[in-house]
Amino acid sequence: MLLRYYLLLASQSLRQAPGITALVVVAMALGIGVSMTIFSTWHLMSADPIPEKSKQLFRVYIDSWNPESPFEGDPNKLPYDLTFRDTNAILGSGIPLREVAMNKSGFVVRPESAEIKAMYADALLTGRDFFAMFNVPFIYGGTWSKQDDKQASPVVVISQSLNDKLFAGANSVGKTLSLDNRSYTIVGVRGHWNPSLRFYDLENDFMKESDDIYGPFSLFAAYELKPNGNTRSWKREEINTYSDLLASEVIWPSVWVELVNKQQKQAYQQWLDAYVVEQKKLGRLQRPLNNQLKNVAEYMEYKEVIDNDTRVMLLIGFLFLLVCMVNTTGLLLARFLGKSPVVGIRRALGASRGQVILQHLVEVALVGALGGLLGLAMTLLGLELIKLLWPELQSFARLNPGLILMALGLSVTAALIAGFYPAWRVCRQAPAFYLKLK
Amino acid sequence: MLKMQNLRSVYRSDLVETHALRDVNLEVEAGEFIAVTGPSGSGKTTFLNIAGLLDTATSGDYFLEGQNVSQLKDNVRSKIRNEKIGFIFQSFNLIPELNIYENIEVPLRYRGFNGRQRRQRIVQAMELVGIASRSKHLPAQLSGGQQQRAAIARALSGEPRFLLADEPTGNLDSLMARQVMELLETINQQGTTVIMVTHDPELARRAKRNVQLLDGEVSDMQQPYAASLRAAQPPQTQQRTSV
Repeated sequence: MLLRYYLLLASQSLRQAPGITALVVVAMALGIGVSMTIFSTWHLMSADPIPEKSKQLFRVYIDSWNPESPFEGDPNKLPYDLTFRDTNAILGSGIPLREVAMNKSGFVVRPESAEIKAMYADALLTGRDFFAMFNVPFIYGGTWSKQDDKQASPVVVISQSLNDKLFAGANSVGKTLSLDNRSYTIVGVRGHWNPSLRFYDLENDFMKESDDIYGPFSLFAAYELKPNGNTRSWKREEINTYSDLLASEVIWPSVWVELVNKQQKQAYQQWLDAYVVEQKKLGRLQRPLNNQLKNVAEYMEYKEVIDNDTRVMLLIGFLFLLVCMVNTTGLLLARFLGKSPVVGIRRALGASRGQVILQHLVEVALVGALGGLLGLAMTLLGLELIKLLWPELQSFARLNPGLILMALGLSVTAALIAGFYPAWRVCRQAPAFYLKLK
Repeated sequence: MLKMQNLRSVYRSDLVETHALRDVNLEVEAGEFIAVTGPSGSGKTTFLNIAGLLDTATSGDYFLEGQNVSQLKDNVRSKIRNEKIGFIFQSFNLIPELNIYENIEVPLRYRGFNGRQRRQRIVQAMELVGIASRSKHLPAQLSGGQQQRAAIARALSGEPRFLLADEPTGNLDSLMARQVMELLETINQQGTTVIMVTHDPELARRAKRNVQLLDGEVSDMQQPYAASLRAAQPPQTQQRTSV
């Protein structure tokens, strides 16, 4: 019952001093706006992109680098990708539930209709299990067959947006598509799938949208397709033909495996170690045995999706909120001490110190809620600014219901923290002290 | 009903130590009407603040209805203030932004009364002091006498056992002062113990007992103030006693 009374008093009090109320609300809103703009971007970048199975999807690392010096000169680092021969060798162990190799490529798409211009489309050449592993939905058809993987069949899955452009959204399964002047049969159309980042391939511009075309990984070797993205090697090798590339120590593809439990992971790790030991006997992979399986979170951390600059920005955002809170404390202190004679009267009439503190904290919480609402509007403005300045952050610069609730909660909490001292200070003395001030 | 034993109140600053009350001993029976008198700086307001639990004594004991209230926690003291003590101040101490109804409502809110109970008590108290038609007015819209009546209504609304009045007529003209004094007498006749601080000999004379404070010490004269002044000539012959 008293809480309702305090709310009534708080709203009266805020109306009586609109100037100072506006100052406090704006101070809180600025703090919330800046900190939440940075936090929401950071939060979406660091959020688990596939929480339902991120702990059972592992990227495979083999240290295939120079025996004389570690990858990037750092003994804690492992080559980001695998060689083609290691990739081929480790597929087919039979241990993981699913496994895929992958690498980026790209095609010039030549539509059948003359009305549609030719366009370049990003492609991911991978295994048929990619879609099941990463929970990729289909609107038409499905993935290609195992046979297609083995035989490097010219089959593709296209994205919904490409299907919209080329076939006006109609079911295009079974139709052919001309990619780099070669005909491919469409076996499926991927539904809307736009994870906050391309978490399965952080080596190559992970802020880009998902690919438009997916085909079997075996197409690389069959059609001698150019692998896009980083290709690196520690060894001086003559690479004159595509076969030279495939047989070289150049690293470019990657492998993901789905291991559903500890035993499976352990078995796969042992199998991987055994493979490397065998390769060592053949004179390859002479670095210390260090094969690793990194799950999605570990992979994102290893690839520093959230780099130190972002962390510093986040810190600055919250320091700014702290500055706003200090300002709020000052404003509230002035406001509450100005009202201290009324506090004296209320205390004389039976309000305990706790009740007076609570009454003021309710007022502060109300200010915090108003500041939070205005802060949300400022956050939206801030996010628009981020999109304008850094278009690559498009998919991260947004608010979701959780972040909206968090902004309001943070604002109320920050206001309560900022307002506690003034609320306590105003009834620190005996009531007689404040009555004397009247 | 109210008993003070060796009550001392000392204010300390970096440079000086001021003894506002020195070993005050006093007993007040239920239903009494006491005038506390004394010159400025004699400790009257400090006495009233301690009696009304608005301040704490430096040492000594203070019993209210048999309970030692000297060392009670703030929330217990606040509850006692709210339920047992009514205050009337010289400057009325109405909350300026609340109307008269809302001002009278304040102690009843802290008491936990529901809306119906509050309304009943407020209307009753306003009718008793004759300001029922002013319930929606802000304090600034009323005369000094009406404001003091509102303050008395607020003090009475909780039906306190003690009414502590600090110069209740100090800011009023003589007509208003007389009316307020009559109101206090009526309240006292209905059983409420009244302790009134005043330096008006006329008002003090109307109390049943006078307590004089001089330099923080109590001189209980058991007689109206004006008579005591005559008896106290020359001042050095006056006998100070504790009661």
